[in-house]
Amino acid sequence: MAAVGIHAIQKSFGSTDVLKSIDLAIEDGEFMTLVGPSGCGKSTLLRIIAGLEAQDAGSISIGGKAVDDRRPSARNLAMVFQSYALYPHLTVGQNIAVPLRMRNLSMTERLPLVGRLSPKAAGKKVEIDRQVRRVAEQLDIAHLLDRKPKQLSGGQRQRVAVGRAMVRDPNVFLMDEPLSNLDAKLRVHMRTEIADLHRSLGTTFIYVTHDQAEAMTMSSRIAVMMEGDLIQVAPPAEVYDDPADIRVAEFIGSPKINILSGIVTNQGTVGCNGVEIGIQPDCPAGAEVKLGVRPEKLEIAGPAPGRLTAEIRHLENLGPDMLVHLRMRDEADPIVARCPAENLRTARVGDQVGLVFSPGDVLVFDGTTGLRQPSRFAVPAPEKIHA
Amino acid sequence: MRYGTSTKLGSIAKHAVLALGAVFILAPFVQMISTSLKSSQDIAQGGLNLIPREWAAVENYSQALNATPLLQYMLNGVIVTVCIFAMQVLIALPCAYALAKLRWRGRSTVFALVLMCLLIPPHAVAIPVYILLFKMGILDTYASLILPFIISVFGIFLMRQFFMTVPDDLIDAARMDGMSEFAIVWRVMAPTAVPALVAFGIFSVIAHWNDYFWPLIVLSSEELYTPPLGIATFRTAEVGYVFGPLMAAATMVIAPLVIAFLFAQRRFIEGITLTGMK
Repeated sequence: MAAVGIHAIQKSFGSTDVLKSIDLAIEDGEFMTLVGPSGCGKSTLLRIIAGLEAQDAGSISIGGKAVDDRRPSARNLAMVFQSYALYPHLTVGQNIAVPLRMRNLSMTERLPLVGRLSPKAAGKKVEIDRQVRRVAEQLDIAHLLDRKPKQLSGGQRQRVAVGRAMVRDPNVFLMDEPLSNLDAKLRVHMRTEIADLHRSLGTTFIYVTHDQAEAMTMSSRIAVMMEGDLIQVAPPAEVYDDPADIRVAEFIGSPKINILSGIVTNQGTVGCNGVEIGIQPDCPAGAEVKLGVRPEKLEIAGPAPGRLTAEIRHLENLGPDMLVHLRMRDEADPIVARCPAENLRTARVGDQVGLVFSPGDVLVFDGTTGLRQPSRFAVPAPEKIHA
Repeated sequence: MRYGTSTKLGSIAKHAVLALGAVFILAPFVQMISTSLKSSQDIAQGGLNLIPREWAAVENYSQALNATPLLQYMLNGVIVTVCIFAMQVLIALPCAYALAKLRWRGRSTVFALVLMCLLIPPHAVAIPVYILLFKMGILDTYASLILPFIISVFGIFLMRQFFMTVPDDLIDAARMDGMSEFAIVWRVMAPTAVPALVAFGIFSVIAHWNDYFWPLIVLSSEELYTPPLGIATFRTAEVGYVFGPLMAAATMVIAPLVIAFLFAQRRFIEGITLTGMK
């Protein structure tokens, strides 16, 4: 158990800056998820924490001590890899035992024949077997201990990899996209299991993923990375409701947030597609802004003057909800609304409909920098604008 | 149904071609075994009788074993080929690992040099190596048979190609588990590379078991002779070739190779195909 400090970490491969001075403090026992699109540097950061990659500048501390000159094994971290990385020639039991054998047995004690001669080694081996069995039982893989990895399913391999990480009782668990090789159903199931594991072990977890759903469902805090920068570090709800940057807003949430372009009017409100929207961002008149509205905040209504209108292009029935794909004139990107299915019994593809949303649900971003702009409601704030 | 017949015809044709090739390759071996069972009169009569008209199996094989210390030659062959292969593995595996999985300046240049070395025929360097061994004073010893071959460029290349297919994650996992780079080579890479090692082993053992050229150059004492040199001693100035015992000796010399190959056949093919992938 330990806190992890990441101080001004920089890394470049050739002329590409993969990490541009990353600072992040991960608390003891926290489930921190590094999330971002592929190539954002999240895996590189994890490998630097693990000691598998050397940083160009900056420092990593674990439990308050700098570990930059320590080998990966000396940092007492455990890592679960995307491909599980089980030793194919060893059985499940031997795979799980490897970290303990490497740590607790001397080089001579590990030798196949010579090792048998030492009575001390025998005792240690019994202890190792006991721990392997304990971990295997905890993960429900005790019946697989004599199998080879080749004979296991993806989910079982995943558990063995977790077992190999758990057995050494590490300070920190590092997980590099551990679920991305599993099928969709198992992935959802393993999300719960990993979150459970975190709760029961109470150890610090650092989890890397490109899947925002995994980040949202498991983490205590999410660190969103883009292009080698850390853009926002916050609990899942805050990242979703209060994104600091348009890239965060677009990355987190599925279906993706709807982005509309607008221009700040002389009254300080925002004009969008010829309709005035009742919010006042802290921007000068004439400034370009982007408005973000989550799909579940959009309502479909009849077309009316002064209301944003769009054409239904496609309807996706999810059972309780309906995803309505809309095309708005002058907007390049399609708009998606998520509405209760019963409200849309009569909707047909090709219908012209109006869009209704509350100004409180609109996120305003700067049109050029993409940064979030604080904004007020136009006075008097209507409960619902029918813009 | 037309489709069915045409594929059937196709597969008959394929098998016919393969069978023809097999006959072509196997014919000399069959001839060798057949001759090793015949008396010298029978051999002298000529003709294509595979079953001997006059059996002389016991005479030929016992003469092969008694006229020359054939077992001694075969033991020499075993010592030399096993030592060569063991040393080749000892050197090739770490080299291949460094070339496939470690990042260092000049790696691609070194690999290009390795590839270039594949092009050098062994005979081209025979004289410098001979002079080197002479200066070291180890001509006419086991060492002179073994040392020139302990660095196998082909082995380095083959193992490097195989190691390229081993996922990096596996190596990182081993590092996290506390293995040193050498431990990774011997405890992780070597066990996963068994098919490739078997393929390499067969190439290496066959090449050095059958090598006639190099032992002929460096050896003068008969007690160090390897099997091919041993077979050559059946050619005597007075009698010319004594075919029966000669073929019996040849049969005994290649028997271990054939048996070993049959045992390792599946692994061998795995090794070749694996290195061809990716």
